Amino acid sequence: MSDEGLQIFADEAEDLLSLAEQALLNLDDLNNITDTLEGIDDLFRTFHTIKGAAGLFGLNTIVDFTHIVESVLVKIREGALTVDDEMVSLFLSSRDHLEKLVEHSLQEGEVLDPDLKQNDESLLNKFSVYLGDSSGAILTEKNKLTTGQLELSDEDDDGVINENWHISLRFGLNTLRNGMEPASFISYLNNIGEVKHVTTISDAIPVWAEFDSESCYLGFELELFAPSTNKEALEEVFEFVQDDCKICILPPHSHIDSYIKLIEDLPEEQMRIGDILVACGALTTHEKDNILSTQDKITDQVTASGAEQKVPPLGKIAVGQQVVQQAVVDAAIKKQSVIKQQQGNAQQTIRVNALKLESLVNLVGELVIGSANSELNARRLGDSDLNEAMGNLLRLVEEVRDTALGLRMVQIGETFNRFKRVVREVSRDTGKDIELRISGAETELDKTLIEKIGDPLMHLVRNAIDHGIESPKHRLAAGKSAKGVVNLDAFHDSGSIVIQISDDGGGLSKEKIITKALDKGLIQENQQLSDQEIYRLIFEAGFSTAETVSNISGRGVGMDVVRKNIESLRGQVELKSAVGKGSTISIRLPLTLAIIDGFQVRVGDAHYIVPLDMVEECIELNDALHGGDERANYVNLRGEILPFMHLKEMFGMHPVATEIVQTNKNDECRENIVVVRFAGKKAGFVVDELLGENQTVIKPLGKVFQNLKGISGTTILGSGEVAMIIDIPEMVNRVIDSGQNSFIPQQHSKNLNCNF
Amino acid sequence: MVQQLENDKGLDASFSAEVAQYLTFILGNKVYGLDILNIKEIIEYGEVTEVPMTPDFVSGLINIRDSVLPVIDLSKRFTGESSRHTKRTSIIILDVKNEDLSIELGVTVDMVNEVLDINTNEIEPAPALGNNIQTNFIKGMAKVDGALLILMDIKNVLSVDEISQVGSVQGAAS
Amino acid sequence: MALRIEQDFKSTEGLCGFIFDEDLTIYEVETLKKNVSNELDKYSQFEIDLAGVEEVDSAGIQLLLAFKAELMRQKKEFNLSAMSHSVTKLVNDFGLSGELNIGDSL
Repeated sequence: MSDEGLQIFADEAEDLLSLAEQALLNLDDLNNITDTLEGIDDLFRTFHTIKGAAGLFGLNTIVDFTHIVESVLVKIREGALTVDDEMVSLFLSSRDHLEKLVEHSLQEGEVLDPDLKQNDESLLNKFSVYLGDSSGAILTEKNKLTTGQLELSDEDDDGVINENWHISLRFGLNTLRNGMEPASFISYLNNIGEVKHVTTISDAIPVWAEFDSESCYLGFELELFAPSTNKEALEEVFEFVQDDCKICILPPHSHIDSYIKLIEDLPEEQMRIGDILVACGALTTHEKDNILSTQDKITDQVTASGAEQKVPPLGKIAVGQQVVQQAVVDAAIKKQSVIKQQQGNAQQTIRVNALKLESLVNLVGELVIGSANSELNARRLGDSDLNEAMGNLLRLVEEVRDTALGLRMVQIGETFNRFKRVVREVSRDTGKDIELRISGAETELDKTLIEKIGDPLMHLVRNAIDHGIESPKHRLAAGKSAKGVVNLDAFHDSGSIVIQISDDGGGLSKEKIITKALDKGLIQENQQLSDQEIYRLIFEAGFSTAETVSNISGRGVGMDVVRKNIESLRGQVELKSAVGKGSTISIRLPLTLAIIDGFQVRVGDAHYIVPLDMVEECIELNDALHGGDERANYVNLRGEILPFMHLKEMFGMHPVATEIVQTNKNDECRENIVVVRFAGKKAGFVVDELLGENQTVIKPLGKVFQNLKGISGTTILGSGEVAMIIDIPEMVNRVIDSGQNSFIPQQHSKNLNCNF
Repeated sequence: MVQQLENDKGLDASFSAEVAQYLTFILGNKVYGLDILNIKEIIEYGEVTEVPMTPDFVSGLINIRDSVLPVIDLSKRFTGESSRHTKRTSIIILDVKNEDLSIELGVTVDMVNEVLDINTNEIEPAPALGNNIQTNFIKGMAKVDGALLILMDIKNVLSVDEISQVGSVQGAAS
Repeated sequence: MALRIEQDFKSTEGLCGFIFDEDLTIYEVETLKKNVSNELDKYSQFEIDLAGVEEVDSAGIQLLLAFKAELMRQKKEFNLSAMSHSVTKLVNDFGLSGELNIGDSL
């Protein structure tokens, strides 16, 4: 098989296995039998599809293994087995095993390495316990692996007429002349099963005078008890006479349910009724073709006669011919309409090579810069038509940009779902009872962020379970419910995405933190620390407040690495806690890494970009706002106190020569404050000039400036100049921190007061 | 403008020693040499955007074919004296390896000279010269045509770890 | 000869006896039909003795059925007096033991 084909199989199997995992974890949460059965159906479907695909590639180990899993699922569906914790765990382990098998299949050769083989056997053994006897059941199951159709076990009781196949035979005139003997068919059928009843139909025999003794006018109606056969096999019996004779095989009544089930299990593709019936085994291909040609004949007749007659649908003809029961046809019709509906709703997705997507996004970045450059040059020419054209072009480029970046956005729900399993396992290991609640699963993140945030999140969740939630005993003693809750939430907030992990556990004690920090030499005695600063200490290297360090979270290595990981993504992490009540960790991440809408400003000689989605408004800095006190570092913004600082000062830049300030038309000293908002906090920054919106292609700062605070990246302006992107979160915090420490208005050390 | 790296008449290496090629350039009044292995290109001194809150020896950032690279004032870093920007001032773009990553950056020099072949056995260890020059920046010295050539150790001069401490220098706020 | 025809069979007036001696298969049915046809109009009662039949197939059974049907149509008597083992088996296999059994007349 081609490598590419195998790769596609592996990719699809991966998707299916992750669906299976979710379905398995959902089983835990379900309370009622209907949902559970639906869950089992989902699982069956998933494994069934994998089995089919593996079969195509001749991956027998996978086929065999999946088949056994399917069989157990069938038993559960039939009510012969119930779902319990152990079983779910077994299924989870088999899912993992399958994953390994799929990986293995990508390499050459069918031979499993000893570990895999051992795992395979041990899992199969566990399953066989559920299936009845130890090796017998497995073998029987394996032997049934030929048609992919659901086959009944041999335990079915007989005697009831509806357990029998009803076969209707009308032999053709030349049957005897051709050397065929009807009796031999009947005796052959007796080999396959037991012919319970035969009725010979002789009414086709003409009057004696016209009776040709060598022609065959006989018909038979048979009741055949043969539980382990299927339509195809029966049809094959009459292979040699099927051209001349009319043969109708109606499956036993008891098969109706299994046909209906098979129909429901069919993949979610658009199929015609005939194909659905063939796929579940209720019709053979031969029968379907016959019916279709009957339909065609009727259609011809109707068209020829010009009558307003409706051509009967395939299902109706089939029932009329007594080759399938109405109930099965109904199920097929239902399936068809369900699929139609689902396809209407379903999102069409397509797999894309990640590298190609990356290079597309890079190219779009170049496009943005290039078009900005062109626009600049165009403006200099002053041709209005050209300017309009450029304006249109820029708008289109912006749309392309948004679409391309949108391609990289993935819902965080997938990542969140992985944690269900973690929670399950860790709860079991620690003996705690913990529920994981997830909200905001549809929130979208850039793909690279999702990949990188997985590990830090995992660690934080583990931490919450391990250290946050107390044991059931403790909780009850504290008057809480025995079951602890961990919440995972994700949402957008002013240009960032926020992920919150909160628990209703014991919370963090500030005193304990301070003691520990003093102990580790992280802080000094009598150091004044805000609550925020105290909690921030958790993220320092070598810190751990847990009395016993468990294997799960590891020694204090955790939190500081988590913080570093998040910060390397240009994110921030913050912790809030209340003793006895619980803790909440909030992670903030930028929405995109690549291209943002920027607001360009000039400070001194240099140009800076402020991410537009954090900009609230721009106001003039003048006396009225100051309230007359020019030395104040806050303004009255419509009744709100807005702290501000001069960017120039914050950047430690040299004072600007006064000439530049005076280029302002009205010859007044006008400074502008850019008001920004971040994480619910507002601050203002004084800049020299506002230059308007700009599509900002982010060029990362690189290792050399990795510790630089206040600048989060660079970009290239249309003019070719390099502009720096201001790290607003950092700057806002600085403004607020400095404001907190002194309520006395600062004295400006530079002469920025303009009294013109 | 990109200047082509020109090869001088190659001095034939004596059988056992290695010959390396060094780009020579001027900082202040001394001549220095850099192993060309790390050199990507040489450009004219162009628009360098200052980056706030960085040490003096960090000149800023430059745009080269839509890539943003940091520029170090080599004179300032090496001798403590700022580079004088004249027409001849150039920026040498280097590829410096730091652990597994390679980092591209530029260094400003007063003037670029020729490329010389220097035999390893011609290199003498650096003496302890005046206190302006940090000895671990120097790989060694070589005498070429009677003149003294100071060979720089690029890795130490531009130890990225050191430079990346740039962020820790806070601006003069409040 | 596969079929022995005996007029005034068992000394009954108007009863024709057909005694099938050998095989009753597709190879014989054409001839048998002809022979039977000759006697059909002459008699009003018919008795069939199949004790001597060795091989029988569908064609044979069909012939019997056709004959019986014709007699019913002509409102004549049909009596099956004996069946060999092979005939009995095939009749049973075809579920025809109600139609073709010994003793009953129309």
